[in-house]
Amino acid sequence: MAKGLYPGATVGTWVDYVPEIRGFSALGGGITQPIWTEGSRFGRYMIGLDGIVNFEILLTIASTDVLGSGEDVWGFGLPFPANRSSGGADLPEAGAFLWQGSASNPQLNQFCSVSLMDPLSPGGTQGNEDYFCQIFIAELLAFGSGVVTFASSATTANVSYASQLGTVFTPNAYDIKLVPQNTPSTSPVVLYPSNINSGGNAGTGSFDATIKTASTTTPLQFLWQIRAWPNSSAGFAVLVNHQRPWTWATGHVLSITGRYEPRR
Amino acid sequence: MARGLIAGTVEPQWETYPLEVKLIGVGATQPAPAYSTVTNFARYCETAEGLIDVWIMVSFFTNGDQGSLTPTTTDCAYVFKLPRPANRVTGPGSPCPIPLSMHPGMAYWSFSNPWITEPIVPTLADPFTDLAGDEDSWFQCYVRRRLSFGTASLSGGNATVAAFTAGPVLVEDVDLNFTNATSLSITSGLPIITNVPGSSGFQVTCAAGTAGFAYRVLGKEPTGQFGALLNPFNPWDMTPGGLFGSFPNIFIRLTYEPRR
Repeated sequence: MAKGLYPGATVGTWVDYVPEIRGFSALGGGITQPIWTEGSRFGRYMIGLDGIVNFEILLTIASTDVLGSGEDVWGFGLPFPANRSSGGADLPEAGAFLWQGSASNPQLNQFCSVSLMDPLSPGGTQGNEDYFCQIFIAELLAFGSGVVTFASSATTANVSYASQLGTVFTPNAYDIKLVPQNTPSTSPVVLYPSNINSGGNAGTGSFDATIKTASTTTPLQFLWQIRAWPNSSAGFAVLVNHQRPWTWATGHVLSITGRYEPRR
Repeated sequence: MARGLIAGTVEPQWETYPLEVKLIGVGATQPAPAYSTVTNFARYCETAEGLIDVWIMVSFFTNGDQGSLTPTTTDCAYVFKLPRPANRVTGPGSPCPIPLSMHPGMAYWSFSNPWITEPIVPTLADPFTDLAGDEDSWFQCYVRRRLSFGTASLSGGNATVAAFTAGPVLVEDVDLNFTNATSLSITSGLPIITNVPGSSGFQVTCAAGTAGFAYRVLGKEPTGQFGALLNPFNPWDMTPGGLFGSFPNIFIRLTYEPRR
């Protein structure tokens, strides 16, 4: 049991637990649940003298973890079911830190609000929402790993974000940033995204960077990134799941700290 | 009264209290959210340390609930009533920009598209004249940026976009992408974004041509005591059914030291 820093101070009793972290969906079914290996998840809680539960959750994704698929939302297990004080589920109970870890370059991260779960289905059985919390995100993030070059004489260059945000979510045009990197042999006139997640030639989970006039000898080169506001193209796009705010991967870290009133 | 799953613990003595939201500003029409115990409520309990935990949930369902004020360059801020006066550690009548929560509150649009959230930081209210010396009984919230979005078209090479109902838009705060540029040509030139004098919008100009575009504004907060505070225009237009389509919410959980 960890003790406090100051001799004589009252020491709360922290108790370790392994938080359940699983997928939920609005319609139920179709979910392949994540499989977490030993040591990926850590949680602890301390019940205050006032009966409030203080809790922490840490998820450090290991290479042996399986993230699952098909869920709308990831739920994070509380040590005890919460007293849902209102009809709404969105009152912040905690804060979350989402981080891609120090080995990532860049190290994307976000600070987020955490609330009790919406009453979604874990695969056919509702009613578990008081046992879980959910994380609200401000942006979905993706970026290219290097310069993209238009093919000679081409007016479009396909850009896939599927490996980072999946194939369902569709960013708006204003979410996408394209930055020219050279002076092509013919002026492109404009550079903008089109066919965003439209299927067809562009393909799902991608868009076409588009110019008006193609070059043959020195085509246009560009960099891209997406900082997308959640939107209605994907279910519950405002909440964390295995592809939000990015596709979670080995070494990424998700942590929560907060306090809530347990159900009695 | 212990009913619970956690035997032997003390049950927090939660009390509900009247939710009061006030709009600071000359000539303001006060907000009037539809108070209920489900969607608009305030409650508190005293912690073992003598601090006060407060939960506040505000939703503006109907246009007018959010209050209104003729926008000027300054005075406009929501403040929310605390259950008891706070101990202002910076001294009576002084601003006290210390967060009242270990995690941010949340400004949030329900069932909207885009479906967005913004963190908000609660602090004790500034000593606004409208509070008549009772600022220790109220808190305010800081906002990091002002948000807007939309689509528009260039016609004859230019388009004017009204992005906000309050405050100027800075050129560098605008993200813009064409969505249809087939009629642009080499003579169109690059699109240029400029402020519109005397307006809160911005202007997009090309040398010639027509084109559709989508834009997003991530606005930096303007100068002034009220510039970065939550209000009917900040971090977004709070009009229910307006720009974002559904209704706005303000969710806050905070802990503070009461005055003794």
